Amino acid sequence: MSVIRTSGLGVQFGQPVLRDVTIEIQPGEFVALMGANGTGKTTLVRSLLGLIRPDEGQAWLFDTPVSRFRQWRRVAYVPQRLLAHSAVPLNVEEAVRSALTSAHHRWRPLSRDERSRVRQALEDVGLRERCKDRLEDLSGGQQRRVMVARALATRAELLIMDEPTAGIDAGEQARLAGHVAQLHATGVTIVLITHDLGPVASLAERAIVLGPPAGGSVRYDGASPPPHQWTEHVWHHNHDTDEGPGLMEGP
Amino acid sequence: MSWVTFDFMQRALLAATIVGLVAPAIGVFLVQRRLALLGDGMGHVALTGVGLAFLTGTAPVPTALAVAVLGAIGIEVLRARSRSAGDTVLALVFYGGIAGGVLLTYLAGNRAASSLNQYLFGAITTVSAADLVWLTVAAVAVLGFLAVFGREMFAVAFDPEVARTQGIRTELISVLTTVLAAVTVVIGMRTVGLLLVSAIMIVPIAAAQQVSSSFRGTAVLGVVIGVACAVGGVIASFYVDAPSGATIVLLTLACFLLALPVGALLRRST
Repeated sequence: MSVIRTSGLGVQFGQPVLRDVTIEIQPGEFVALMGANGTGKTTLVRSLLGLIRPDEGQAWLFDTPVSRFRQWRRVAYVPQRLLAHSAVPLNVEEAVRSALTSAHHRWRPLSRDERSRVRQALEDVGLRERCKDRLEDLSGGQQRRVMVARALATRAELLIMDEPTAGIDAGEQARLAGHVAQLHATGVTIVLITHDLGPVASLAERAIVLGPPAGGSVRYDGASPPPHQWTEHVWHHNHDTDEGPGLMEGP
Repeated sequence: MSWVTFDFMQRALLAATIVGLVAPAIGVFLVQRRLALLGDGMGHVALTGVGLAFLTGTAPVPTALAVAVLGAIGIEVLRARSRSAGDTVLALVFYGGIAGGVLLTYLAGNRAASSLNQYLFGAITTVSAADLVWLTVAAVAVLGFLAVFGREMFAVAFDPEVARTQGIRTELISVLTTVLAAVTVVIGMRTVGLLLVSAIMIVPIAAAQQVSSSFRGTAVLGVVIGVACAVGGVIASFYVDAPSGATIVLLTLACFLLALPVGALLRRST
């Protein structure tokens, strides 16, 4: 059984954004999805989540075509963008609790276990003491931690995180890495889009690099490089050259 | 307290309580979705329903209800399928609704035109027992749907994209929210009138959000303000012999103005 599978996936927004992407991710894997800006990483993830209909190819979640997939409780998603400014006051706890809303149990209130998961997720991202604060009073980094807490509270089997550590300070990144490592140890499959060479990304065991030409396609799929080589790794697989980006060398 | 003994006042107070309860309860979702003017749009569509009832001789409340619900579905289909922005779609509905209402009422003759005012501005003291039955059934239906689908409506209003990845049928929930708003507009039609009904959906929530720090708190306080202003407005309009719809709306605006400094004080103290 695979958790994620794509075959010849292609997406166009006027021009190709993804082209012929074929990947397979097994249960329990921790995969970093890498690539320069505009190589289609977020588009690939959005296709996997059914938010974009691909123009070519097909995607499967847990061996079911995404268009027919209904077991969304098995999937948690941390989007790249920050939370939109809420027009009605919304506190941190409400934002996390809403991640547990689904069409499957609309009648009943959250169970004791679910409420405890919400509290634990807020604890994990260091926001337990701010659970009654307005979301808009939090900094950008703290709001991103709320989004991560939403995903953690679901206890899903597949966790897809799009740049979850952007704007989060080093201490909180280390703390988050600890919890992500724990989740991974329990068998959760994790797909991480990141440019950050921080502690969360260093947990990845496998890297998939998307790159040109003509829309993002898979340029590398294999063991994750050590974090200090990531920049060069992405550069090489985006530019077909042996020359590095020059970021690792002195003048 | 002599007013309590009048049958028309008892019916008016019951109708006001229903509107004060239901309108902010659905209004909080409209505010969160940044569709505060949707109620106005639905009011204009309901006007076409009233005009149609005048022309065909059917009962205005159920006819307006049917037309408003169809209009609500139309708005969501246009928002999802057309290239027009949400506010442009609302504008189209505004214009179409009011033009249809005026034309149909004109075709229905002079008597219809003269009774149009009670639907435009409300005439709560003329609410009949039959009207109350319709209001109660519609209000129970709206509150029932809110009880069942409220959490999904919240999730969609909060973040529709993530809600889709939770398996929530966001398009269906959006249509449901708009349909419930349409039903609420018709509930308020006989009390505050089609031109002012949106105010009692939105202004109590705008007042509550000044002092509350949570969605639930805003909704609950909005309903309390809505009921208090609706009931208070009916009583005040009895004593000062003023139009009840306008009195209710002005009371909600007074609450909003009062909430502004209170909210600022609360934020400063935390």
